[in-house]
Amino acid sequence: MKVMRNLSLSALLMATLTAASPAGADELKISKAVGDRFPDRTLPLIEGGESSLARFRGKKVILIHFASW
Amino acid sequence: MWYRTLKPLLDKKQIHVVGIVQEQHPERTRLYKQWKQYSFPMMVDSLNLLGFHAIPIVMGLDESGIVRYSRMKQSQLKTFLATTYKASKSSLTLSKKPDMAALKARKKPRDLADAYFLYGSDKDLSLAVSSYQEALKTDPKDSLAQFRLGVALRRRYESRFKKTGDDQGAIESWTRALSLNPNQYIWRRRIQQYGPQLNKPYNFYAWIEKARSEIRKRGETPLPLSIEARGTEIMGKGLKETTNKTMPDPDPKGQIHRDKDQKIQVDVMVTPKPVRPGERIRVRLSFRPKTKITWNNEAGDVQLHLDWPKGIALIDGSFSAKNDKKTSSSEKRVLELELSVDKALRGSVTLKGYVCYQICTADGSCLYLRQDLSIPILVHEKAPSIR
Repeated sequence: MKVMRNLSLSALLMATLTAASPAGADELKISKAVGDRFPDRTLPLIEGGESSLARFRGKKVILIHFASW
Repeated sequence: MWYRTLKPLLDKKQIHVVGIVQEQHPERTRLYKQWKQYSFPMMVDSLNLLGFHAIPIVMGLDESGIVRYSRMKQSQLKTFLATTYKASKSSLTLSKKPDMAALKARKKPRDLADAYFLYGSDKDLSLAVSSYQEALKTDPKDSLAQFRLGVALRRRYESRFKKTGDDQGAIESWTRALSLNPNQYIWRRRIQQYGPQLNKPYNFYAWIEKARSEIRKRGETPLPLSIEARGTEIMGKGLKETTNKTMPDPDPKGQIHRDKDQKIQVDVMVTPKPVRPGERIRVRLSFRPKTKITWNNEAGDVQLHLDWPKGIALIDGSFSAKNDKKTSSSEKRVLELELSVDKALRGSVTLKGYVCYQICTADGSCLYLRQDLSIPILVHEKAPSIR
């Protein structure tokens, strides 16, 4: 997976993890902490159309948040 | 490699794998997916609706959609799969395309703008832009509206509904958003995509050509990109200064006829804006022939000349855009420059110069024209660093 594509990306991840801070006052009030339900937002699909994570209920889901850059 | 680990589980339909893509141009990820032969669906979150601050992040959700691992490691996968989690009933329902009339009535312009962007066509991008701007009138410190305004402006710039200044407007919105929330690394990357080489953590899109080559070798056709990555988007981190700083000066006496009705439309984008003293800026100049105007490729190349005000110095850049091999063409041509800003510089500085080009009009007349340029740079000590 791209997640482990190169060292620079790993370095980026490390940097972002260590630099994280509480969201600003106008940030989305969306919690993604352990024990919370992941937000059920409908989003466009890269393959066309749209979907929501609700569609994937019933099996465990590995959610990979990434970009090609 | 995560995917190598997950593929057998996917093939046996034991789990779902879902990607959430944080990208201005999601079709680039579509090409990446084709290259890597990923078989899982990918959802697009260009507006950062889910509020992530960084990537990459891997999460584990149970059968009810409850987050069990918020930053999952591969070593935790086995335990995750083996654990039976208590079923939880969802009170949430699948969100559908919103009722636009109801959204308007609620007077929440940012939500309305999101809906125009997500569910509308390119024609609706202007409605998204104006709704984000309305949201910012009410709350200028709404960093989400600032970021999303930038996304919508950039999208409109790359559509047939583009307006002059959309590209610069996107950079300024993203810079304001980052200034309000400097820990948002996804927003930071959006500026870095177009910004100075010095500030790049790595090359963003160098993989595209390699991907296309390998896809073709497999006998497939690479999926198309509506917007090609170019210039600083496909450059890596750069620190060295160029040895070639000789800029052409084809019209030192100002005798070449001016392109008064702008047969060539020039877009100027300075990234970032404002810039912090002592940092670098990237200037991107795009030259686009208007309808029925073509480049005269049998004559000279596009040539750029700039004068350097005190406190601004050239680090690297291209000053001429080569002609196409065809005798005439109408493609957009781009020149990029990387400049350094002196530590002592503050306020507004204007970079002045001109561009000369050879074009032909619909009636067959071919002209050598000059267009004067004025590139505004804003230096502010409180500007966010984009390194």
